[in-house]
Amino acid sequence: MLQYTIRRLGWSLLTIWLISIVCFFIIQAPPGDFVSVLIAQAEEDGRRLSAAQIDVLRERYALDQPWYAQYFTWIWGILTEFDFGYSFRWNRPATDVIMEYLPFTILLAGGAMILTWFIAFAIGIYTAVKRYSAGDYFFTFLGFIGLSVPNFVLALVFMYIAFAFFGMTVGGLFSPEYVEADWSVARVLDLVQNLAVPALIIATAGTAGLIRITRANLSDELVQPYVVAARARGQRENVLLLRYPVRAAMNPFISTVGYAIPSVISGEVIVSSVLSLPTTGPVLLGALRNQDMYLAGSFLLILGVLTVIGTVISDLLLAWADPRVRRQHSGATE
Amino acid sequence: MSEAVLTETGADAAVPASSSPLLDIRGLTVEFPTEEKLVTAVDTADMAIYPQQVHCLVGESGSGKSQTARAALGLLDPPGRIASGQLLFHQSDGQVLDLATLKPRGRRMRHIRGGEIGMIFQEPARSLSPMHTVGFQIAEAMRLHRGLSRAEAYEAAVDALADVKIPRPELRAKAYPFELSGGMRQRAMIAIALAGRPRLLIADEPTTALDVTTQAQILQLLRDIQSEREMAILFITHDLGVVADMADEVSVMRSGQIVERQEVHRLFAAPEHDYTRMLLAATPKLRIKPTEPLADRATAPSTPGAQSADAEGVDKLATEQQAPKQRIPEQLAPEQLTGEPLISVRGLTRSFTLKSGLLGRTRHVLHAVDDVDLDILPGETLGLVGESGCGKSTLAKCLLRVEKPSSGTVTQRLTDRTPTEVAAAPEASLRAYRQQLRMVFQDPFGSLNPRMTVRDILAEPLRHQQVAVRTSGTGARRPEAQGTSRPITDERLVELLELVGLQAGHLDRYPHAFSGGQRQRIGIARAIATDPQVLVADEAVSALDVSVRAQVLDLMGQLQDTRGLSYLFISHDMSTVEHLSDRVAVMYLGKLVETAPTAALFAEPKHPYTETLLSAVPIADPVRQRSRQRVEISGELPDPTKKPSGCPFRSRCRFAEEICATDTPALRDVGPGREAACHFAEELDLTGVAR
Repeated sequence: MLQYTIRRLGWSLLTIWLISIVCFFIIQAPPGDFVSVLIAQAEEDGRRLSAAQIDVLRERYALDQPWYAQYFTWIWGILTEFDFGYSFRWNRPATDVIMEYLPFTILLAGGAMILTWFIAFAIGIYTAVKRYSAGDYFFTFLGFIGLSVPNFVLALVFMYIAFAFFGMTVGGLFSPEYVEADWSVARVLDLVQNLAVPALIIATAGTAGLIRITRANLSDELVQPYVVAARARGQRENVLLLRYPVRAAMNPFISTVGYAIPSVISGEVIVSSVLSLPTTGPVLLGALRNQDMYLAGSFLLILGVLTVIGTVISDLLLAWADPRVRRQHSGATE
Repeated sequence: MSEAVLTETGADAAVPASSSPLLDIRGLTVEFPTEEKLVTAVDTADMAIYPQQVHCLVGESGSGKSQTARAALGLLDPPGRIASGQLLFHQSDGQVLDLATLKPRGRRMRHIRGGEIGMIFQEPARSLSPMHTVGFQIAEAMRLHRGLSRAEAYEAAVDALADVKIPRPELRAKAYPFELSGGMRQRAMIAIALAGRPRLLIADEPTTALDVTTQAQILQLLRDIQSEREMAILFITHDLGVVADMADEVSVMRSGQIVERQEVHRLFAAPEHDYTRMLLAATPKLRIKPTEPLADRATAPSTPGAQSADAEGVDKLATEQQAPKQRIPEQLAPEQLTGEPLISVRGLTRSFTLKSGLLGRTRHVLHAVDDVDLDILPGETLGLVGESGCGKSTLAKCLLRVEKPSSGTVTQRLTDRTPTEVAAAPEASLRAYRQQLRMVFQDPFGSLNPRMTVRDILAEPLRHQQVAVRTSGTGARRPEAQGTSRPITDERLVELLELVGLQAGHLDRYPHAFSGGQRQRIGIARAIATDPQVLVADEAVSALDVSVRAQVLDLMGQLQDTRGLSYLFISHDMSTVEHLSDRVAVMYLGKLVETAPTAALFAEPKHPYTETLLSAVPIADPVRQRSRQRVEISGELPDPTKKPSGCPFRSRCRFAEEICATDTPALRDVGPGREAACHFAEELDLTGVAR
């Protein structure tokens, strides 16, 4: 297990390094460099940067150096000072922009993921055990609706229902009266309440997919001889269900960790726009459209790193949960 | 149905008059309602299992054996249900309980399961949860039926592993099922089944998935436990050899009905029912002398009722189609085995490197095939036997060049008068060779493409053959010059089908429309389509039922006679090999340990491993089987990466001496046409199969 972990981490570090190089080249891709953009911006404002100023800036970002030195300066800034560069669009350091949106996004995506797990776990098991029953058909129907209706449509519908029938304002982080308020129990409750609907909307699509996967996997496991064998030794139905087949069918749940983390950043752009949620998705979109390369590149880098981390976490979790993965990771080769 | 009439003569005679049955099955009917029709899996079956008896329930696949047992424990898979009948179980307190009336998931049934009746299954690999340790699963049963605490139960589980003779039980208890050998898994299953100290053990084909040596060990263990614990066993099997070895009473089942019930010696000596006679006739018995074809006897009682709903059982169509019966393949005498070998293997080695450890730096080299010398002579059947994992299939793959040998030579005289080397030949030059050396596969279901019709399946090798002829010609195409480049006409395909006992009408059907035996016939037709000289049959009949197997074996014998084929017949089933082969090669851990003419090998083995294998094969005759001198089979096949030094068999050999650890014995002449790789081949007096 330790060997496996070390090997897995080693590979992921290599992957992250390669990703950072790709991101660096994406940032460098548009014509002109960082300083020339600054000069152009200053001219627009009617100012003029002195030659000395320009030289200082060029030196600061190592623009007079070859590309690998520039890469090194860039990545060193990120590693040591968490300095992702400067966003021209926002006229602020990219780090500030990211940090403004990231925490809430993680909160929302994490909430959506947990919601997804709970719903999919319960309904997945139910539909697999009671296959072809009325309940199965009902949830299957519901699942397919969740799968096929675009999330932003759901968001609109939810907004309408919430407003028309419950008088709730869906959208944004807080209800109007709490936006400027100090932190208090009531404000936290309001935040949770406002989070619940978007989390539910984002969770729907993932839930529907996961229910189908769980149902299919568990259906396969339920007829395995080891289930019959457990029954034959006199184990109770509920205990043996959760202990044996469900345990074996859990792997897709663990795998979702891998792809849930990247969706934290990039996912749900439209839903966030519709619900005017301050998540990173719309910011990334804006950065890409405006060629705000440092911000976009930073997002891409964070996205890539999170994807790798997510995969590593789900791999390690899988190995921890499944002895077949844990104890067999050597293969025959020529 | 007429043959449903129960032949019960003698059944009562064998029963101890004093005791009442432990489990009395009366008129049991099990139904599976499906959307199209109602399938009756068990049809008014009567059976009585007495205390301390081994009751064998024998029948072919789909006969309802397992469903009978499962019904008793309320373990029928949905939508199966007990439609009628009683399952009277005599509890230890003297009360009689009808298991058929219990709720399958109720508390009382759960007490019966494991507490009164234990059960072990066919596939130990899949009957243990891969996510939990073996110790955990045994301890679970201990806690359920002995009311032990978690810690006590685990200790009891370790003890139970020791009881089923697993070495180092503390260590094994912590192992996951996939880390144990098949034999150990089945021992662990037995430990689970015995945890609640049941009075009846249901064993559903417990040794079918195991090697013959492991089977012998497990059967021995079951016998010991049965007498130790004074338990009754309901033993479900299709193998009459196992029946002869284990049974006190036998019930024969066919198409859901019990057609005969007899004491074991009487059943074998004087079977009452036609079906029993057919089964007995179709089972190779390690015969005393060459006899008439198996299928002749196998199909004698082909009554109208033989056609069961699921097309299994007797492969009827084939028997109708077959030309007048040919004799059984007569074994060629050693002096008849002459001529230049068609394929000659020298020093063949196929090794794999296993990586483990950090960055895969620890490497184990596994020699799946290790320095093998072998000849296939014209017209002979060479049997290749050995436990699973000994390299039989890898050797076959090397011959076909599906695997590329690591070293050694394979010289063939199939495509040309002059010997040609194929072990390292480029892929492109192998086409003609592969048309002369063809393969029949084990799995009749997996080896035919379900999306191709029989026509496509048979035409495929012919199409490639034509391409081969065209491209191999020196410029000018001469389609008439060679018979092999005839166009692929329907007549040609029908001819092939009729050769294997199928009809023209089958040409446009898909594989799923055929039974297992028929599919294997299609597989054979495909193999002989290119008119090859050598067929490699890798466990080609292992997946088939007894009666169907006999027919396919006879077909192979006929084809050999009419087409002068040579066979490399790979099998773990010694009695089938004995039935078909002229010569036998025995393989152990990648090495050939003995080759000999069949009769000589079975009568007087020269290598201790051969003796072990022979001793492990149960002979389908209770008198012979029970009077045999048994050779203790010690240990299991070692991990191939940890092959013992010197003689690979020395770790399990009862004659091993110091020299065996230091010197690897080479295969050497030990008699006419015989070779053995043992230092003491001449001195040892080994036990063959009693004749």
